[in-house]
Amino acid sequence: MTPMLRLALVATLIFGAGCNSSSSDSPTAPTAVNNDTVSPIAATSSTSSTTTAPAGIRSAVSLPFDAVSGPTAVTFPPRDQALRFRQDLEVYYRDVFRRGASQSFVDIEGTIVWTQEYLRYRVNGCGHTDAVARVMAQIDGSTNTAACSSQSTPFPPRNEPFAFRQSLEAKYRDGLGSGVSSTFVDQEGDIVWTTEYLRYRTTGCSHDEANAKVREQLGGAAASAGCAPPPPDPVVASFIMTQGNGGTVTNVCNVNSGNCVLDGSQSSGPGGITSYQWTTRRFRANGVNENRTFSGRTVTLGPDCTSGVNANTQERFDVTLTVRNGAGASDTLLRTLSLARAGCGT
Amino acid sequence: MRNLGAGRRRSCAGTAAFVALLVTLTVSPASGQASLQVPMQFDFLNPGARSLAVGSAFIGLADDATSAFTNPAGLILLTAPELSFDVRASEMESLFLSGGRLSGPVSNLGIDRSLGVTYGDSPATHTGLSYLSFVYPWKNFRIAGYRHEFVRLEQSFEADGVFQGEGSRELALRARRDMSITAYGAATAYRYKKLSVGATFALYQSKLDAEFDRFFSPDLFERATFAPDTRIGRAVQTADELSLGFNIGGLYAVRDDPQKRVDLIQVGAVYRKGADFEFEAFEGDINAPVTRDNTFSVPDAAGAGVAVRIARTATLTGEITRVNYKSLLDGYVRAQAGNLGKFENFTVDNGTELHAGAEYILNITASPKLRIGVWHDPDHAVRYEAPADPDFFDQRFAAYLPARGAVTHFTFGGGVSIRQLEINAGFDLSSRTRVFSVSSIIRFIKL
Repeated sequence: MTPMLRLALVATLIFGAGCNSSSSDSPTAPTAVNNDTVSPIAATSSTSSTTTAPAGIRSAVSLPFDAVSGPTAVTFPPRDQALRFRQDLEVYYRDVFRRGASQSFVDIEGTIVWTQEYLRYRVNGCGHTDAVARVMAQIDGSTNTAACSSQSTPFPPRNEPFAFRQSLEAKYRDGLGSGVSSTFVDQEGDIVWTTEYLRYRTTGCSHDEANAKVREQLGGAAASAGCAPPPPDPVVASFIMTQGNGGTVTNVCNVNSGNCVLDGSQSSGPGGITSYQWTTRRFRANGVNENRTFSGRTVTLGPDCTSGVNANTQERFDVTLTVRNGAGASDTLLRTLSLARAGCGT
Repeated sequence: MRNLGAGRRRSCAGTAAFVALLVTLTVSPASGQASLQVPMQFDFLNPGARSLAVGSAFIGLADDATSAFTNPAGLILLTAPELSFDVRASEMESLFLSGGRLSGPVSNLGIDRSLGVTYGDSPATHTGLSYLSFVYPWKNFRIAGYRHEFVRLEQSFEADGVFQGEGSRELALRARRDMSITAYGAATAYRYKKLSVGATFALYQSKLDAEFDRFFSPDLFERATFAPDTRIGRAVQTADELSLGFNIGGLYAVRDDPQKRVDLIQVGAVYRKGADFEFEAFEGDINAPVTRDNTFSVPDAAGAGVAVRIARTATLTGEITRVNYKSLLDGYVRAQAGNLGKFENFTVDNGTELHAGAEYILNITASPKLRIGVWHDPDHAVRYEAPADPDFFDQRFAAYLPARGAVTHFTFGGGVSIRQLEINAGFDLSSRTRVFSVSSIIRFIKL
């Protein structure tokens, strides 16, 4: 590894570690992962049999690999774990796939560090060209590691990381004057499986889980979505209005046919609903809307709530129910119902 | 809005008048809330195609068997027994408020898409025998009997109800109304020199069968479904009553001299006392209907006319008729406006009708006759005059019952005489009505 490359790596890791402290409080999983990003050809493609000793690998692995650079919406794993995955991949290709050694101008540390950087930019709002440019700038010494957005975006399609990997190869070869390294993993396998590993790591998988899932894929299994636990059951507000002895469900309360009942017992949430807050809004004929609040699972709309509806009129009656469970999670439902009154009546 | 089949209507002889009536569902003394009004408009055209064709200007002429109703004094002009009948086809515009928005912001939800109201038309059409009479002369008297379908209408429609304000909607309405008034009359006339007088006593059989159902819409802004379980209001009006009415008339021959160029100048006058009948009604919530029995009064009318015959081939007629439409307010409308406190805003004008017509007889075989006429029909619909700051009821009533404006009717027709038989046809056309009549008179005379 050239001095300039080492400087870039050190700067990336140092500044990355500094920025991470401000963003790691709110990691966000990628919104989606396209299965097309997994390239089956990577595991079967042939590589050059030429073997060259990796350049500068010792100095690179001596750096603090527990850093994640830049403010991000998606948190990436410590780099020592990523590097360990990459080293295991070398062994897998060599011993299981029995691939011969090939040459690459990018050593293992370099491909892990910069691929992770590229993907970090991509899943944090940067486009391909932008992400490539940012990584290249970092290699050239830029200390700007800010992501493009605090909103997570899906992992890119596989052709784009591969294009980046080729650009990285050219950068090491032409820009940094790096010598060749020996690797059993060809460029496609390198970028595809590194991307998959990082995808698993950013979707809730531990290092061992991600490593195992990539191994399964290397063995022919299909890609899986990740290890994020299923979201907890949401709090859902739901209610009905009934009228009459039979509790007939209705959207329109005939004020001449007795009281109507608002019933929120269909609401649900983990641990059960502990709070029901009702707000009703009558759109009165006199133009003065009438707001009222109630609490409790059910509310009986007696004459004090419904009197004054004009004859032969259906009056808008908005009902809002907010429910909470013991954990404080809440949901709100607004429904437009009606009060109706016929003729003169009583 | 849906028109539930063509409403049918048949009107027969009468005062050559249009009457706008109002059938309303009524008001709760407890709540002071008024309810729907459904305008009901029908006319009282004179019977007979000949009368129809000369602009219904027949009081001063009154020289056939239809005068038993139009001006009974004219019966004296008949010198032989006569049998007359009239078959009539009619179509009459009958507008009702069908939907839209009267006030407030448009929600752009469902059917609430624009400000302004829409009216539907439940055209009242009918074809049938409307008049039948027989006249028998006896010395200086004439005796006549007749059957006259004074009013006959059948209407039905559905309306979605209008939106008002930010969140109010009139309940949807399904309405059906069948109404008929049939007169069975006996008339007589007597002449003293140039003056003839006549009188008719009629037994009116009045039938009313009306239902008005109110429905809520399961979704406030969508069309009403009219499903049975959404019906919450109902009004019913029924009647099957017999009542008495009468007509009295006079006819004076100012000139009756065949030697003169203008050989006949004849003036007439008539007063018609309309029938009153009781009807039973209830309305309100289906669970708590309120009785609304009341009286329906057919407006009285008084008219005067003149007929001028020129050289025995051409006759000009004119007539003016005053119709007491306000009698509707004092009975039918007042009762239904109840204690809403808005009765004073309901109004109707007494109407003065002007009629004019001409008849020309061609001096050829069968003596064909050509007739033409015109008449002015004033705005006589019950209307609602909203205050400057209308509330929701004011808005609705004003929309239910807008001023309609006067209408001019144009009439024409013809007839032939073949021995004892006279056949006539006539049309009465206006922007709101179309009437076609064919009538026949059989004179039992020795030729």
